[in-house]
Amino acid sequence: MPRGDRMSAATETERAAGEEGLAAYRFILTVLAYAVPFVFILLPLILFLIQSFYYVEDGNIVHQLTLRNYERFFAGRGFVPVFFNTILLCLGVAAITVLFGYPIAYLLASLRGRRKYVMMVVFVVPLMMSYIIKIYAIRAILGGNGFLNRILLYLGVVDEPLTFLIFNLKAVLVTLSIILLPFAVLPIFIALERIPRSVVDASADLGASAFQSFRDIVWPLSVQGTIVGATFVFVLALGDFITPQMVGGMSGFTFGRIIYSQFGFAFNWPFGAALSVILLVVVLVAIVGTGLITRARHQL
Amino acid sequence: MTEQPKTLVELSGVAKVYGGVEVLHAIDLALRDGEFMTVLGPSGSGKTTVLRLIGGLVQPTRGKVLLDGRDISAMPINRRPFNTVFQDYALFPHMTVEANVGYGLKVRGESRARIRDRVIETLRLVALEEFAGRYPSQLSGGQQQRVALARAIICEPRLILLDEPLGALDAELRRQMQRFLKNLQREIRTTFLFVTHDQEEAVTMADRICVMNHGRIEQIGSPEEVYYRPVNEYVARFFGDNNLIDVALGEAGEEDRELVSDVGSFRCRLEGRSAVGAATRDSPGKLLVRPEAVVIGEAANGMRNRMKVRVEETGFVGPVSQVTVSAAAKPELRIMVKLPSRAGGIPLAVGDETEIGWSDRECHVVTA
Repeated sequence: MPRGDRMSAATETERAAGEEGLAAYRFILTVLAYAVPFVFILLPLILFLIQSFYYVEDGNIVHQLTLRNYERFFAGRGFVPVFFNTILLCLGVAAITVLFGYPIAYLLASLRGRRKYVMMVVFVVPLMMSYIIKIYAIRAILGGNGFLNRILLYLGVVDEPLTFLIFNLKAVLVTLSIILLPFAVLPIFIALERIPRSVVDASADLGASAFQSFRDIVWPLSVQGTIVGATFVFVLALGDFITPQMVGGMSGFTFGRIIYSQFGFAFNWPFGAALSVILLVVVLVAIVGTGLITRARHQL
Repeated sequence: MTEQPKTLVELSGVAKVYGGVEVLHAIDLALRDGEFMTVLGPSGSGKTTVLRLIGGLVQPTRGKVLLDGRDISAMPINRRPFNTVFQDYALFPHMTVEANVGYGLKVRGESRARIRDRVIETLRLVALEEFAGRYPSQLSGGQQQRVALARAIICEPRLILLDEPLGALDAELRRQMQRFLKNLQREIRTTFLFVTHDQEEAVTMADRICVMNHGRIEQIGSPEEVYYRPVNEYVARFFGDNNLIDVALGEAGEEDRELVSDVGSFRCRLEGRSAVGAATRDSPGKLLVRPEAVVIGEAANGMRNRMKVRVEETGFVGPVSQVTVSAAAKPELRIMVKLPSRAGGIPLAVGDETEIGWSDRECHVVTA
């Protein structure tokens, strides 16, 4: 056998060994890719789901499956109205953020070159900032002795500090809208960015006015991103319990706070779990619904 | 005498500055009503800017755009009676073919019934009537191209602007579309302004070619004019593989002129601009001989102009065979010869000493 052939046979074996190693490596990666979300996301959710069918007696969890937590939610006074009010509140937050977020995203997308990305950073920085700091900042603005009241007093618009600015559901609505605004802006911005400039040029070229171009081309091509942004905000607002707690006061009671109190004060974990499962169902419906709406429309 | 065709659109002293860089230097260009003009140039030559200026996507920094003699420089894009076929087609992805094609009529407020009729009619013209209900993403590149075309012609514009529309298509489809476009233009009798960087495409399609370079127009003329009688070396080189020999002017004969070079002297009949340009004695210039006008071997015997050469390279490129030779008197001077291919191959081998020749009618002189 010529030497060259032996050499290639040797490298062949090496390559085979290498491929085997690669296959093993790939296998491990695949297992990890599935295992991590399973162990850290799905498993806790399943445990939670099971927990929601237990109940508490004399401060101890009874490991026996029952529907009494769910019955309590539907039959008990107070839970269902708070639940629906919370959903309405979060829909309101989603509507406000989209209403303000769309023009902002449009402005960002229409900027050219470096200015666009500088402005983007200006919008993304608050996203990175601690959530708690933002809430305190808003409290400092809206509070009885806050910035807004001081200005109003100074200008003589009011004689006494306004008290309806904070510690109610409206304050929760405003605060959540401010905090979650970037989550609406980003998906809308991305959707607008994806519209090729030539497509908008083409509609003008065909005789469309600026308004017609927007109505027929830009809006239909960015509505998906807008829906995604709204869903983002809705889901995040729904799960929030810190904001209502800090700016909601006694009247700003939300479903998130009820859940929190079951874990934090009442120590009724199974009931808290049941309420969480109910909330989760709403979130899933919102996400799946969004998926269906956006998929039904034609993809770019 | 033929009637002078009417000028449709005119650029008069139009310059365009982008971010401090002048990409177009005061050009003048007149488009005749009903003609197929191609604007040809490499990227960065300003050819797309010309198209965008006419279409209304950009405004001139200086100068005027005229339509039927009226200044339309300030007219917004959506009011100009021109339509564009964009390089990337720019179809509306969320609309069916039918809605795409009908869009120009819809924004004008035409009735639904009329839009439908016109769309069907126009789709038939581009052989896409079966595809009315499809979305752009469900079509091939060539089909998308024709949708873009249909969308532009349905508005019955005075002028159709095409921005390298065939760039993304493969060679065969490209040739098909070239023929199709040419026929379509004859059929609908609309003026076409076609921007391309492909000289072959420009030559095969155009009534007139406008050759651009570095934001200037080098030459405007029929394909034959720019091909056989380029005004300068740039245009001569742009139309592929031209042989250029440095020459000085010698004695003028009765019908021809002597051209003196360091590989011998040649006699050429110079016509038109070439003769005028070469009028000054001793002015430096370049003799231009097209590769397909050069004969090699025994065929060179009967020719007025001859040169001893050595074969350097032979190559087969389908219908023609290319032979590169070097001048015996000056080996660094390379001459390209194109011969019709024959099944038996060409009877030449690298290293052969032979002779080339060309007729005194196949010469053209450009100023260097």
